[in-house]
Amino acid sequence: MLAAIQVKRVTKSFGAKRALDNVTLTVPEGHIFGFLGPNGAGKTTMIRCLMDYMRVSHGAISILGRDARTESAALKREIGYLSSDMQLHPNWSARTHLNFMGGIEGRGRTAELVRKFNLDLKPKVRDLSSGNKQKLAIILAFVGNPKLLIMDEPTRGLDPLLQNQLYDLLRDFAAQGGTVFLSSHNLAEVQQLCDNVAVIREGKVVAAEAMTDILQLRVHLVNAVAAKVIDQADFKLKDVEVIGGSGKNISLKVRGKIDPVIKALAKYNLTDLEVTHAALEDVFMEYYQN
Amino acid sequence: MWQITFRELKDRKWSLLAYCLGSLLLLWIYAATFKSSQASAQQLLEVVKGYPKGFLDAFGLNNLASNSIEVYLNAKHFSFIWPLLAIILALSRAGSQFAGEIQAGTMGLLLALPLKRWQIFIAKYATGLLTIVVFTLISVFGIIPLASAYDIPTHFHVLVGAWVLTTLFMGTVYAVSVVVSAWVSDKGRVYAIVSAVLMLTYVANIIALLDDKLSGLKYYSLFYYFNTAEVLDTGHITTRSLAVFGLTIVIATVVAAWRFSRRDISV
Repeated sequence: MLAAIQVKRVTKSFGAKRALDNVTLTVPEGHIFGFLGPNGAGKTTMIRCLMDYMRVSHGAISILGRDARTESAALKREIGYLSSDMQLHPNWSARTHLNFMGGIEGRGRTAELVRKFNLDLKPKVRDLSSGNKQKLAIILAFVGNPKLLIMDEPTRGLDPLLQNQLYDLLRDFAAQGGTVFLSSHNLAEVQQLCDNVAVIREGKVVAAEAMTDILQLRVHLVNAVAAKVIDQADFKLKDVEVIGGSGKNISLKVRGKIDPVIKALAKYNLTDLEVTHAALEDVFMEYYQN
Repeated sequence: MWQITFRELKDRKWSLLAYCLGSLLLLWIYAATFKSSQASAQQLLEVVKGYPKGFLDAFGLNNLASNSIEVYLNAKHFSFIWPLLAIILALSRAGSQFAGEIQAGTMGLLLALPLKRWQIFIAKYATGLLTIVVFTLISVFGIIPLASAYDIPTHFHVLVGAWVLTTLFMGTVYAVSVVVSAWVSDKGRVYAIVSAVLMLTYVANIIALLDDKLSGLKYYSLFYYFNTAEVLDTGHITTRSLAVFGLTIVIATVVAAWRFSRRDISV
């Protein structure tokens, strides 16, 4: 599978501080790629380097097979960008924004998206609600028929209905061969939308896997009810944590293989057993905290 | 790329119009008061004849005996009020075009366009230069119709010289301001840094004119080369002024373009 984005050993330093530390990433073409991390982890710096707003200190970034630094201008014809804090001109109307950007890049699907999002183009941006500003910023990302969307928290300020419209739009975009690279704090959103995910922490990528793998391989939550009192000492096992329960109930968080827990539970006459994959949030809390 | 230039000109047309109208209004006042001031020029000459030459040069009072409208404009307008207007306009444009847009975050829209950084720089810089040319054309040649309304003769070659010098002066202030604006991300810092530098060079020129021992300081002042007294009297611009302003503009522009093309922009 071709890579839409290839980041090779990228470091970005600000003086003595390393915002990105030897980051390597591959974003497959036609996928929706989630980029997660706590505040200050380096997500926005990574996105600014992809967009050539910032220049990397070491390493290389290639986008759609071209060097992101030297061919940045040509690449931007193929990239739709939405920053987390997209500032629009307060004295311009939405129509002026679209005319200006579309006049340089070509209009692409903007007319269709204006209808889809039901955006009034006449008012000046300073008179728009934050949700409508976000709608305009999303539509601007689609100016010029991009092949790759780079979006920093795209659903910020959108109501649930519009969030779902955006999810459909992104899925449709990916289904037609487009690639989406998005950062988000909304883990449920990433879980339902993304095919692949990477986690960045203190400037380093600590995980980069397919969503199915990351959810299945990492953490299980086990809730068991037995006919007699459960001795929690039986569950002092490697990578197993007792997170709740008392008496005949026990709740466990299992990192890695679940087999030793099943064997320990087999000593009890169980009346109920529930094993679930941890939500993405639990998985990422593991990465964030450890 | 020129859409950026066109859009910026459109966005800032009202402020440019205000500066141009303000300048025309001042020229009108000077045209209207020129003839009556001629009568009192002799009295003023008597008053200032004992003053040091440096003082007269510094405040544009060295050609009071001349009876042309251009010399009168130098004394009243081009030696103090016009430079102030020009500096404010050039500095505010330069500050808001680069550092101001980075500070406001709107630079992000431009950087997302399929344009090289230097193309964005040139497009914005062209807006600044066009603004300067329009302002200097109106604020210099605007005197021709206003003076003719009062039957006052004007001297076109003198005004051409004045236009070249004022354009070069304003262009220099703009280019130097753009260097600072391309370096920092806060337009307030641009205004503070450039104002401080201009203030220092102005004071240096005044000190150089008043004290012979420190006369070498004048070579470090932009205002020394902005010799409107000579230009508005004879239409002649010294080669030194042309060279200093021209070189400063070229060097500052190259440095600003280089810096803007290479810097990190956090938007």
